[in-house]
Amino acid sequence: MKRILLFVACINEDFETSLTYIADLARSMEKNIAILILDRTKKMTNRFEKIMTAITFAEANEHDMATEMLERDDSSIAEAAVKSFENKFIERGVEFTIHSSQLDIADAISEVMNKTKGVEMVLLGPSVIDNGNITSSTLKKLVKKVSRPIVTMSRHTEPNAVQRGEDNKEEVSDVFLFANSINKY
Amino acid sequence: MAFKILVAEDEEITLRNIIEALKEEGFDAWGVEDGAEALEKMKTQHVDVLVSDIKMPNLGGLDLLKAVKDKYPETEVIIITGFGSIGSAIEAMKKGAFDYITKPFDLDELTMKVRKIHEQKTLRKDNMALRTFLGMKKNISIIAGSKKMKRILDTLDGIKESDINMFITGETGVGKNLIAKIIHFTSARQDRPFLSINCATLTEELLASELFGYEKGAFTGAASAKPGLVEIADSGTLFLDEIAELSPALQAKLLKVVEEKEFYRVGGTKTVNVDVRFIAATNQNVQNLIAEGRFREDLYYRLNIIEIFIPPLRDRKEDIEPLSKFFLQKHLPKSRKKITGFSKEAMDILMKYSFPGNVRELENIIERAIIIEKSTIITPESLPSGIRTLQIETIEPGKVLTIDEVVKVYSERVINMMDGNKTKAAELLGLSRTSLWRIIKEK
Repeated sequence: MKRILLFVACINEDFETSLTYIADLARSMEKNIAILILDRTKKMTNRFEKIMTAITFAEANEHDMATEMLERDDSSIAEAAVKSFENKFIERGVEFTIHSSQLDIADAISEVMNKTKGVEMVLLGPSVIDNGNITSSTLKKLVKKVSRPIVTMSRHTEPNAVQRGEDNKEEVSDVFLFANSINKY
Repeated sequence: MAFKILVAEDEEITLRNIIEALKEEGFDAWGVEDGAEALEKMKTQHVDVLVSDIKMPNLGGLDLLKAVKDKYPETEVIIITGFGSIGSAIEAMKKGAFDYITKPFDLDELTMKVRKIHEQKTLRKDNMALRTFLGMKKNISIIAGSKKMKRILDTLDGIKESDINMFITGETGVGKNLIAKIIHFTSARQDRPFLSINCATLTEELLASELFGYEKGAFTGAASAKPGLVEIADSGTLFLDEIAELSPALQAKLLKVVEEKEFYRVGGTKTVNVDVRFIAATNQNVQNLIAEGRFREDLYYRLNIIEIFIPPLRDRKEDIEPLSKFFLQKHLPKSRKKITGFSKEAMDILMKYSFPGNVRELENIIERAIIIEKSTIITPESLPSGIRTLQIETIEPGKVLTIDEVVKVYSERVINMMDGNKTKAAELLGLSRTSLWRIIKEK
């Protein structure tokens, strides 16, 4: 029974980079992977964007496309994206399971950990860390709640610093200050 | 473990003489005066050798031999026959006796035969552990450039004369197994077996039979008796990796071995005595597991006479460069490439990376880089893209619970005990329902 690395990502994750990294890590640590896709983050914004796109299609008399846009489920798109990496996992001898949740991040992780025995480490993907989807206080709570090492993955700060808003930048540096202080302890 | 010999002989003086002679040789010998009593004793006591007279009241030597070989095939039997009854001796050998001796006999002859069995049994047991043991002794090398690792090695050096149980903690991939080997191979037990098992890789039933062995017929498929690792590691060291994964039942059984140095095989009724040094390891926070009631506190303190914490690689960056060079030299020969080292950029990337998979991950990264690299030095391009493009940080969970957290964990445990009934739990804890609610809601 191999133990498990739990990878948490939002639906807008760049799965190519993060899953390649996770698959390599799981292989070298001889672990399996559970992937948790959160589709709660910015749900309202996404929904609004989806409706606006559907309206645009409807105005152009593309009614079928408009309907399809409204019916499309973002988390299943993300699940399909993850499944397309199946071969990467097989090549590395790593088994994986996919979970999706609309709960907040701490509850969603707890739910998966209750269902899946043997979670050894939780990895938060760049889509969770970089886009302000998690605050430092939530991360602190998460550290207490899961009582497992938490690995935060983010894009390197130099190239992305300009793209992020000032608020997000503070948020992330706050997170890393916290991470460093824990490590020192 | 003392070698146990049971003597069944109805002549009191002969019985006493045999026992005394065997005890003088250092064996643990005791006696009974008839065959039925011998069989009864064997139900509760492990016996290595049975020395039995052929003529005894209640149950004769040949019938006793047949019963012993049927029930306890590992027990060797020496039959004492009367002068001139060579026919009985031949029959005894056919029924599986190890040897026979004719009356009147020289006590030296008997002790020599027992010694022979002892040597054979020890050899057989050692052989079972030999392959792992030899392979291990050759391949121990540790790279410890950092102060933290040097301090650990100093600690190990200071305790190499002692024979205490030890507990190794640290994240996955830090080298707990390697430290366990160093502890064993620098100890007085270094010429005895070193065996290891990962408690997380087997189901409870399989783990029980691997650790404690089983008797013939203990379960479907147990066609013959098999000794477990605890028995095979007798007088050596047993390394129990991921010990936190042991079930409560196995924790209790292990506690008995650690405390009393004896146990029962699966399906067995006789105690087996052993002298094993235990080294346990885990990557989990044992204090938390104890607080949650998932790991026995008494077992933890029995095993944790000295605890060695191996820090993660990210906390001992000085080790990254020497380890990288070591792994380059280790894996280079099979690639047939002429790579001489690392570019400054590649080493910078490795030095900045936080290695959630620790030393094991570093070794994999270097092994992969050797395969991919086309030049004579390892360049950033041959390192995995993830470690180049992502910033990885690891946050360790707190090692010590606060008082509030302890109260919360305990309250939750009591609620679980009461099948989720908070009113009953509050009553048991001496709290009002509101206070209990406040404790468990507190974040």
